[in-house]
Amino acid sequence: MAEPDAHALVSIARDLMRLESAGSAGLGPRAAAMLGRQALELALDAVWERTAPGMGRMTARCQRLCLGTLINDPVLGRRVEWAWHLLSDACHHGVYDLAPAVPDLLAALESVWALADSAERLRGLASYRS
Amino acid sequence: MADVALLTLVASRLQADPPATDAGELVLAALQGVDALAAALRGDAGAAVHVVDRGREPLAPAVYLSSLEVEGFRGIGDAATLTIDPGPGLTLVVGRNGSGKSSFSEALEMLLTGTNQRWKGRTKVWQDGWQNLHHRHTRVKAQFTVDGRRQALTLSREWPDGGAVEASALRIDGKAAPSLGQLGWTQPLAAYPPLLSHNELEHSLDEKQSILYDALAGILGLGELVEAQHRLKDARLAMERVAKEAKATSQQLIRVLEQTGDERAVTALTALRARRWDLETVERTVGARAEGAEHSTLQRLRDLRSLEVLDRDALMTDIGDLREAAMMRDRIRDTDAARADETAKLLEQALAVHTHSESQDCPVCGTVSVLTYEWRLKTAERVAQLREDAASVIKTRRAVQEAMTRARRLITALPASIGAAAGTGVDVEQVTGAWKHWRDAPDSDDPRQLASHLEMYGPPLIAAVASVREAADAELQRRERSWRPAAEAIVDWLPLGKRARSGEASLARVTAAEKWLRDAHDALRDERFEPIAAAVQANWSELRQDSNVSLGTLSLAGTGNSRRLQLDVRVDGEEGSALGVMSQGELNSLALSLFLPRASLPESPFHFVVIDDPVQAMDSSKVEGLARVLERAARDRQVIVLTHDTRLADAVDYLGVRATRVEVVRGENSEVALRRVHDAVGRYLDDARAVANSTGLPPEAARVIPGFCRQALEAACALAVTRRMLYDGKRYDDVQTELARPTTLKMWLALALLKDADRGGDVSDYLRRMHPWAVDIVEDCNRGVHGARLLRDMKGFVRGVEKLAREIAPASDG
Repeated sequence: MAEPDAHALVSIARDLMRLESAGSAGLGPRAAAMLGRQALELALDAVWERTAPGMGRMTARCQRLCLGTLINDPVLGRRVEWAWHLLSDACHHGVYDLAPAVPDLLAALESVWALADSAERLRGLASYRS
Repeated sequence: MADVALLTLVASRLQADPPATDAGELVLAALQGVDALAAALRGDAGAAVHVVDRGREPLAPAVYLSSLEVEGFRGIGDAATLTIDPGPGLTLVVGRNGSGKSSFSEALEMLLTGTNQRWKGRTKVWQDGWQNLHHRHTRVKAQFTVDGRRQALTLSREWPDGGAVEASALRIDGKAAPSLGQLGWTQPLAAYPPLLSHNELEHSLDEKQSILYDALAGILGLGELVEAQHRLKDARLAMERVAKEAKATSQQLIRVLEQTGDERAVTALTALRARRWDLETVERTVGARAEGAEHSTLQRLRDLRSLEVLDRDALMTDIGDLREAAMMRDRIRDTDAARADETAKLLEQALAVHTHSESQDCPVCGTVSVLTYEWRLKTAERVAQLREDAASVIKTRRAVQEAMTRARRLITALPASIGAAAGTGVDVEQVTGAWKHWRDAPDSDDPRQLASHLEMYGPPLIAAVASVREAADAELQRRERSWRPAAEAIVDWLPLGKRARSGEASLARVTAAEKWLRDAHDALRDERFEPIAAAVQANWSELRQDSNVSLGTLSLAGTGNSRRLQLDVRVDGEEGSALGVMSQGELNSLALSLFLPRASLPESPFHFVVIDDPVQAMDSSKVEGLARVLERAARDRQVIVLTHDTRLADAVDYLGVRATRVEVVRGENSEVALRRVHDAVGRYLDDARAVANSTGLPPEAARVIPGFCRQALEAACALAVTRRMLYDGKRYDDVQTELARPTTLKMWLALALLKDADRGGDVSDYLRRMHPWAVDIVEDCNRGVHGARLLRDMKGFVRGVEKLAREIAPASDG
């Protein structure tokens, strides 16, 4: 099985949110959040690979802080920051937390998708350069 | 009609503690209805007593909710079903705000009542939002388990697409029904509402005190006593109104009478001004016996008016008679009737003597030849003449006598009525003078003198008397004119006055009856409310936790408009201004404290209660108390609680409260899914297992399994930490602070296993010593979460995680 890319994981996450496709009710949003979180990590890795190899070894916080500048898109940088918080929270047990709300989750997945798009473009740019 | 049990209770209290006067009869009559009370007030002792034995009326059987299916209502689109185990127990329906969980409680309210608190009094814009945007066909269906009934009871309500909230069609077991009346639920729904909407929770204590009072008083079964009080009050008010009106109008009447210069008015005034109205006298002034006293002015005026007047014609005749008699007497002035009579007798004797004699000579004087035939003829003629003269004299004398007598008879004494005319307003001076002259008749036997007297003084007297009569008549008419309005006013007023006076005695009785009944009602009310107040107190003492607000006596007080729910609130031991000092969370707690005892009364057929989000606005520290309160309520009731976060569910977990959890998750397009979970740990494990066992998911989905597993372990840690800290006597707030610290799985494990979140680095060593099999599991959780491909059997991995989780936090009994 080939290693899936960020786009693939976001697609699966969106599928899982349609409840009837999930094995059990309520699984959808939580599972989608976990896949989204993983997709975000993949997308970030892909971005660093093209722009700043070695960034991936920095702390997650450091990576997020640099993102907007390095991809030259501060708006997307902020959106990713927010998505990271939402998705990460959903991946830990929070004492009062319920599954994330669907609209929030959809917005976070959208941001991850956009970051993955950005990585793709950077790769295209890089291969053009090379 | 009155409930026989209540009537008996009241009757026995009446016997033990009778009210003043004979008001007891009125109390019982008032309990039986308006007609009975009216009859008793009339003194109609024979009024029948109507009672119904409601005590034996069967209570509606106990009902539990077993499922609730909602479609196209508010947040719920396609049909979603909430299934609940019938019977006592606690069910938590947990869902994020907006997940549609409240729609379930609101839908149940709609089903049972046909309406909803949320939309009451709201604008159309609000009301229009009741149907789901994605799914306009609205249907609510619930199944109930009913004691003594084999099949489930099915209630459903359906709304036409785009219909109004009110436009629903109710069905009971599939058959159209106008209301829930046939189930005997209408009254219990009002008295023991099984639903506490969030709206009510937030605002029930904002309501007017009288509404709170009514909400609680309704369950005490004393409604009939209140009604009876109202009947007595109405009766009393009616009497007071009559008395007041009679008093007010009597003042008007008195003013009218004061302006009436009539003795009847004076009489009536005196009667009305007495301390107690003398209505009999007042009535007499206008009645048939209004003639008045013998010497009353009116009587004197009437006497004057009916004074006899000389008949002018008769007077003239008498005068004529007198004059004629005088003339006749003149004519016979020189006639000596006696001499003529004697002469006539002598001559008759002479004739008789001569008859028997042949001689023509006079035997008396001796003159010869005079007693001739011629003489006989002349003498006989003379005798006749003499006799006639004598008769004429007698007749004339008699006629004079008679005329004089008749004339004198006219001259009567001054009538007493004229003599007593002073003060009647009629001037009698002239008539008195005329009468004096009239009386002063000459004493002679000369008819002419008498005739002159009559002629001179008769006509003036006639005129004077006539004018007195006229004056008296005018005065009487004047008086009548001014009296009539007064008389009419009296006649108009009298019935009211009589009613007012006859009501006086009743009024005292009704007042006594009213007071007695109010006291009895209050006593019974306090008696019956006591256990409820005690339950409320118990609930509050659980719920208040650290609140500095304590609840003193709780009672229903006052009547009528001043009725209220008396809450003695103390803040830090100081008396506070009741509810003003409480936070919204405390108010919610108090509302819940009040709601539960009422819904749990044995008289209620509803053995289910649905509470919508009591946790909102509640401090975390109170959630634990809430869990305990709910646990207690769930011992004999099916308690269904909708809640927006997991605090209550968590509290239930760590307190080991037996509860069923249902999670509400909302997907796209108002799809709402419900699933039962055991506890947080179990829920994550279920998720992990669901993915591991699933065949239809893309293979990449397996990447989420480590994430669920990690959450299961973290949840187990949280549960273990909470239980331990509470067991150690820590405050719930401290627990919360502690639980907020871990940010990684290792920190969670450190907190749970090593009692220190900062010792995450020691966790691996600890696990190696204590649970060597678990070391890889923990590592794999962390790696897998970040997308590392785990080369192991996922089902076995989940089993391992479950084992570790239960080692850390044993499942609560459930």
